[in-house]
Amino acid sequence: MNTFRIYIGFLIGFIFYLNASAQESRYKDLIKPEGISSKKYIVSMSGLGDIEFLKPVNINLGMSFSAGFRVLSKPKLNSGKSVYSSKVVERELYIKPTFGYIYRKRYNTGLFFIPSLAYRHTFYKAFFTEVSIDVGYLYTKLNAPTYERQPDGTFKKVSFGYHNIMVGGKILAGYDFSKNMKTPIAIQFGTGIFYRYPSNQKWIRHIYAELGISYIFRKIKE
Amino acid sequence: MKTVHKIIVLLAAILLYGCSPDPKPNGDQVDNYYFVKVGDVALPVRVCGNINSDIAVVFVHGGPGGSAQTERANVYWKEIEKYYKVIYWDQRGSGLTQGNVTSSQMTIEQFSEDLDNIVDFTKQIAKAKSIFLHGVSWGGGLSAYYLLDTNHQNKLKGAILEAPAYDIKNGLQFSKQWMLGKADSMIALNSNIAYWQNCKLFYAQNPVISSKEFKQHQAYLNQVKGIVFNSTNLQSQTVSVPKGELALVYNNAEFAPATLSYEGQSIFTHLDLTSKLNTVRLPLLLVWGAQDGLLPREDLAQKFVQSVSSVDLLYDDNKYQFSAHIPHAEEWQQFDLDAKAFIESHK
Repeated sequence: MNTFRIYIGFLIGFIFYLNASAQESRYKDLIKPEGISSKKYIVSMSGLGDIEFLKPVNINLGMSFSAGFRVLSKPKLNSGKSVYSSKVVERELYIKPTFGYIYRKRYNTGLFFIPSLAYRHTFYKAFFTEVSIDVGYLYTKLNAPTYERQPDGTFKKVSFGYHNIMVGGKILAGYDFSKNMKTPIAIQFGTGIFYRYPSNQKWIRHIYAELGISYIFRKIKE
Repeated sequence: MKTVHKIIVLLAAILLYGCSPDPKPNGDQVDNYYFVKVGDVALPVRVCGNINSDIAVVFVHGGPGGSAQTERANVYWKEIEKYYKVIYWDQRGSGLTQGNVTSSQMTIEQFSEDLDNIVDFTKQIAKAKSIFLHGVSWGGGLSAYYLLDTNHQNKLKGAILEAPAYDIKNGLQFSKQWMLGKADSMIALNSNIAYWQNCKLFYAQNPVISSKEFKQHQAYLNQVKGIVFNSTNLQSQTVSVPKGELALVYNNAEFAPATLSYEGQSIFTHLDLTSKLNTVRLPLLLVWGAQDGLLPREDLAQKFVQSVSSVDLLYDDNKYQFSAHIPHAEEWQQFDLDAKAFIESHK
């Protein structure tokens, strides 16, 4: 059995090697993936729905605004029907500072800042998926008049909220109109999860859905 | 680009919807929402009812770890709110209360201090001159503890205590005996014998009901209508509730029972205020359901009556024959009459 596995592994490795060698030697006139990379920045605005799975389902709405700075790009060049009609798959890593809020009536408004790390995979037909890891800060401002008893027994209105750590991640899918260089817009939707801490020394889980639009700045490198 | 425009309009609509105000209450009714900050804890407080009334009922919820924010759905309050203001507040580490409470802050002494904040808040911010407490179950126990202080009694006109958990230590032993009796009855009736034998085994293996066993104990009680007996008379109304975090409510429902203490020990095994109740001189309305299996009436109601020194104690053991632990929900029509009569005679 082990011999069989070694054989299969060797065979797969050999096929990959041949494939790579063939690409290298046969299509020397094609531009290399590095040559088609460009500068790319993303500015996004999204509507958020923080979902409580009650009956009926309770959705608390919010917004987020983010800027995406590409820190790593590794495009992949796939050949099309003709060797000259190439299909470029974009594989990119972004740092996406994100500001936003989630409004909960008569409870709190969560204001957050997350410097997300996101991986975006854009297929050659301009559909993309994105996975991100979020670690940030959440301030939950109380969403009703807040009073505190003073030493003299009177009540004084105060402004109050809580500082939280926010940890989570999300997965998005969308369509990047800028891929064909006509419209610098992308639309995306997805879902995510985050935990806030502390609340009585415990993490509080949130599940949310996101629907957004992005403006994409592309510039071919000189 | 038309699709893009539609998306932008949709996002703007979502934003506007998210900021929509709460609907105004009708006519002479008030529905205001506040937080009372005590230390690092924000207690949610909802002031509802008759805006012109200077009489307020402060509802002290049960649990421990329950919430008063959904209590308003109970139709009993509809009638009470017609005449008086009602203050619905959540205790620390309970319901929708926010903050990062440590176990050391989960003491009945601290809860009493929180309740005192709510009473003062009711007087100053909710503009009530006459204040009554209405404590249910654990809330009744907390109210009883609050009343041990004469200064606290002086701030109130009276208290409605509904199956008050003033003696949890012995009360749960009575409850266990009550439950074992029911289990024997079910076995004698050949009803699900294996289940009820398992029930008896549970109590044999857990002779003392602590916070860990309390959930299972409640589950057994529910099987024989020991908490809610008269379920056919329960009626609810639609009310809005704060858009809180469900995970926090669930966490608190576990956190509060596990951590609440009295004189440094768990309330489940140590809370017994019987010997201290003689300091309570405030007018009291005591209500106890005859079918109560959680805090059995025959073991606890008379002991309470004999222990307090109330100048006017109203208790009728012929009433609430069809109620278990929550008479204001199970026989709300009668409770409305009794509560109004008590408040009117002591306002």
